[in-house]
Amino acid sequence: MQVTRRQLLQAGLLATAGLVIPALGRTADNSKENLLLSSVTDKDDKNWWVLSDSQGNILAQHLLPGRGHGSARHPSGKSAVIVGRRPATFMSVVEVSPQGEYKFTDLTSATGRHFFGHAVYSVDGKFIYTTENDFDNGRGVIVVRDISNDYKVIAEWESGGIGPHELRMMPDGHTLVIANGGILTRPDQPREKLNLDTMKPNLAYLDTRTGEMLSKHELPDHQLSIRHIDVADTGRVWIGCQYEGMALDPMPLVYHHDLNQGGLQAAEASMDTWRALKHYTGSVVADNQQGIIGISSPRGDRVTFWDNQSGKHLQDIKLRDVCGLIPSPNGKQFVATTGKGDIAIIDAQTLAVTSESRTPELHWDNHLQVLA
Amino acid sequence: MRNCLLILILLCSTFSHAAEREPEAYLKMLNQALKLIQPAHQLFADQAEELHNQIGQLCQSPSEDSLQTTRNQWRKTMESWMKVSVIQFGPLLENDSRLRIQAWPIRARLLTMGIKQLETAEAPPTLEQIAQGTVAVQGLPALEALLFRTDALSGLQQGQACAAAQTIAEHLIVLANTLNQRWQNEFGRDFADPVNTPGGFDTPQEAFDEYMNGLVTAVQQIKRRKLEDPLGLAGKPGKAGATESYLSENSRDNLHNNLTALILYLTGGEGYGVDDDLIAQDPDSIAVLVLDDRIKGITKYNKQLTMPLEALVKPATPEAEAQREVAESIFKELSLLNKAFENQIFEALGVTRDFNSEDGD
Repeated sequence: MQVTRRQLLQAGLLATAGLVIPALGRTADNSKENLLLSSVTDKDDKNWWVLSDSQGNILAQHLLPGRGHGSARHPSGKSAVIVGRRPATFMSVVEVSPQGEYKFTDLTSATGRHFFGHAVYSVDGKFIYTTENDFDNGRGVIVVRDISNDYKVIAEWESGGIGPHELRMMPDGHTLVIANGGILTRPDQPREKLNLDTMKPNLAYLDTRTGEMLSKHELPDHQLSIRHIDVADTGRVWIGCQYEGMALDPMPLVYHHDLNQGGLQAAEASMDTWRALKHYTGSVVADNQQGIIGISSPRGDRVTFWDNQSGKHLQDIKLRDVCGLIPSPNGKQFVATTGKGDIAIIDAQTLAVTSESRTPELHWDNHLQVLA
Repeated sequence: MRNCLLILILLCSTFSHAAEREPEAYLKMLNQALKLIQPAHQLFADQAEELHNQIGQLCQSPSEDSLQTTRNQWRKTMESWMKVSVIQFGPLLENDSRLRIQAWPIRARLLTMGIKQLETAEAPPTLEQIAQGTVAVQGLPALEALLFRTDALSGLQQGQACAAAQTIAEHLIVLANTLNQRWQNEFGRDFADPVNTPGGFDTPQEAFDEYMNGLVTAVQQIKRRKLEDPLGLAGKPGKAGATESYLSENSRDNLHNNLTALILYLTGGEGYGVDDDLIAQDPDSIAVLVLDDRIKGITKYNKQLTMPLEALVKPATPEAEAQREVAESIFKELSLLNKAFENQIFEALGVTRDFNSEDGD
């Protein structure tokens, strides 16, 4: 499949594919530069990877064999990958040519492996790292693929725990930070969590030059699954957790960590803030221009904002069923998407919603990416 | 023949899209819902008040009779709570109200430890201490533990037990009144007239969307927490101790009252409900057919279930075996109702199911 955006629109091919979504709502001109990438589920329960503008107008789409999850942007900004949601065996790559052509390539995991939903590129753009499950041995692995060699697997390293979920590259350009969620799953019991009583999540650092595990850090509560992370350009890793235990009282779900400077630190927030997250966080993203961290909570129906330097909670925006969240490339805005079809543009300085669009036929899935 | 027709209609409906709805239909359903929701909350607040009174009298004149009277009042309060607890949105979710009123499922150890700490403390707990403390010693399960445990009467006369029960009941009044006031005042007004009332809802569709999603969340919770997990209907072994209100053996009544309330809210009672709206749109639609089937099925099995659920985990008699089958039928009906909402009813109503908050990763 290789057609231009203009060709698609002129030929009405998007319409024949059945996913032309008219967006409703008010818009802000300065948000038009954002080209959003996300997995969506439509009303027919079909799963797509879509590229849309920030008003929800679909510019390109690609049918996925199941729900997609996280996506990663190539350092060039001209290609990206989306990874299937656990226990998917697919991931899909899109490349955008200078002429605005979109080319999609589908890839599958190796025998005995499935994806956990997240990937990250090496700084030089030559490799892609994915979190995967070696399910016969119940161990998490980081799989390395060579992009120039048809994404051939060239290495596989222990992730340092069970159920690795999101991973990110540290500012040094060679250390991966990995959220080992600790939850044991098997593809024959797709959504069952098999070890909640004994789970042992950790945050692990791995040297991509050698595959050596550098260090691992645990939280006091072994049922706080470390799921999503991002790294600020200061090197501080921000962590969003999901609680899998039976305690009903609120507890800190957001932590941060500075490599080689002790253990994981709980972010500072009131008990009411922790309570409002309902034991669950979604996307974690750093806006380095503003020094602000955004963390969504779809169960709490809100996006929370945190100060990178002080580690303190700043404020919340209520948004029903929100999960997708990403800062715009210029750092002036956050873009948030919801399972209800909303796209909200949030001013990164005032932390107020400046525009909202709605694509009521689409459920925007958990994570969002912006292509330059 | 009917099955073939159903399959055909189901296939067709899968590829259809919800039409734009006029706000009037939503307003009719919201107004009727409010007529049911407000009295339910008022009743819960009244019952909580009466429970506090009864506990006061029990503590003043402890006897088997007054204990029994208080236990009966606890059951009445629980009944009124079950009719409120299916409204899983809005005030119920603010400030963890639902958990504070009924922290369940909960590890028995947490509850036992919390109660023991209160009983053995040097001074009786203050209202603030209960409100600021763990949810394990707030609300109806904590009162159940104090009123229904073995040797409850003598237990209440030990240490700070009676004072703790009174303060927990007083706190329950605060919770129930707060919930009730939200529905009787701002939240209720915004819910029934979103366009002309300042508040969280901008449109009738938005309010109705939250209302429906709340009811479906209740369906899922009843199905999983009250039936699937304790009865072991999904492969894992069941546990009698995991049934709701295990100590008071009130699990069957809880389920009965939940389901009765659920059907009341769906049908709008004597007024305009979801079933009427679907019929008004298309009396022959699959949504009408499946909703009607589920309502009849749930009503039928709900009447047939007479034994407490804890007796059905490992049925010891033929009667219990038969009753377990009834409980399994309720479970299946709720599963089908959940699917019907996702596949037909939500679309016909023009609302969308919550997505990320339901199944994240």
